[in-house]
Amino acid sequence: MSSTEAKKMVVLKSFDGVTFEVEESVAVQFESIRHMFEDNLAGSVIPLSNIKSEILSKVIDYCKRHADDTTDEEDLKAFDADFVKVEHGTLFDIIRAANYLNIKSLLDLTCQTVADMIKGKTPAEIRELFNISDEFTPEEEEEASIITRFIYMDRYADC
Amino acid sequence: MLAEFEIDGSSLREDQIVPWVDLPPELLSPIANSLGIIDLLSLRGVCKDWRSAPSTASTEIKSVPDTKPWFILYEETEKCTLYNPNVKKIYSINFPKLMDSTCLASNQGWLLLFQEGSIFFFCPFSRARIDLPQFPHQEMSDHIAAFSCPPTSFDCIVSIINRCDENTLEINVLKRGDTTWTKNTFERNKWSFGTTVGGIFCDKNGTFYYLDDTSRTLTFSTEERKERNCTIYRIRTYSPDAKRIFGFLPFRYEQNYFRDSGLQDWIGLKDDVSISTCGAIIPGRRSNLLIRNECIEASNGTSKCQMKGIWIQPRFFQIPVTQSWLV
Repeated sequence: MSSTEAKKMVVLKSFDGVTFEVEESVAVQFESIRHMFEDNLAGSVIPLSNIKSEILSKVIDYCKRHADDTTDEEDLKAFDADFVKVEHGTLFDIIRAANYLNIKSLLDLTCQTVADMIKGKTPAEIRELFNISDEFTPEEEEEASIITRFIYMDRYADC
Repeated sequence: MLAEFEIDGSSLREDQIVPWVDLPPELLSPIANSLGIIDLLSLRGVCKDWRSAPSTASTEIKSVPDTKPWFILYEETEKCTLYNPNVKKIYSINFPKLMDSTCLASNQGWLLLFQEGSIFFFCPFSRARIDLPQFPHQEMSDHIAAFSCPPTSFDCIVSIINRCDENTLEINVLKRGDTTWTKNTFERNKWSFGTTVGGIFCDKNGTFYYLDDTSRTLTFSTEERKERNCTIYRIRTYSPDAKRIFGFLPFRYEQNYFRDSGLQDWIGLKDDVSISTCGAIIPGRRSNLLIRNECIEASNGTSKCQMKGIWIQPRFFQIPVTQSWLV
């Protein structure tokens, strides 16, 4: 982007009333609200009624990094890896925000993070991890958890 | 950044319990998409909401060509043992339907099962089932099947071969949408064909190839030609001096896949266990691989325990409730 050109700004307002002014080049990553500022509603505030300021600030941070062409691939990877090292509550909120704003790369990143947390765990362990109560009847439980446990056998390596 | 902190952020902090269970269902799909089949099953086992949600993701799980198929070992209970030779892991898993069934074919994650007179496609991981019209035989003896593509495809053709008497081979064919099986019989006194140990369909020429245990292959063409749609060839290793070459097999096959896999030792199967395995078709980059059925007799001659095994590609198919063989 040319620095001489006046940067077009977009104002976003979080659920708790905090406003954020971001460059359009960053805000274009918010697919679902893109039409709102592209329809030339210059200066107007776009309300994001279900995103908390704490989360919106993080999401904007992420999009700024990803809009910056000067960041090299490795740095971006390191940034992403750091970005998802957050509490479950924050991660959950970021996923919902990414979904609401339809930011594909952020959604992919956070969903992958959740998937990585799940990998190798039994249903009971996942329930514990995510604090989900077990609401199955014993019959459903039997049917739902068709895998009881896996056993690692290293003897196979010798064969 | 322009930020007016009108409200104290901390006051917004709700209770510490994260409502993961309220995760929008559409988000379970991208999560499920990056899981392997075992982790997907675990995810689905977490709670009711999560169980129904990742259905769109499921069919996207495909094994990479040339990765080793998994092996299901079972006896007379629903509890099966599942082996993933790629990561050397063993799972204990409930596969209903398998215990009283005969597996006639395994291809692209689908099994063709015969159970108490009914014949159906079954995906053990998702338990998806597609019933086929009544098969003309009430009992399965030496029956072996092959099918061209998944039963959800409109082009799917199934054929089942068996020997009805000393001199006659029978092939029953069913195309997607057919309500009855078409019977073809072949007098085999002109040729000799042993016990069938596997079958595969070749797309290029629309032909089923069945292998026997004496290095012969029976080809059965599904193209609508009256004469000679069934021929038997002897399979030989190619040599440039060979006379009368009719063609090359359009697939590779493995005769002792189970024996050579090392699984028998790995599982710790004893001498008094006999095991019969149902082979599978594994897509390859250059040509498909047909794993033949194998029969391993108890080495001391007295079999205390008869086990069954199936090679399978781990796939998770969810099908609409309205899915049927008929179109």
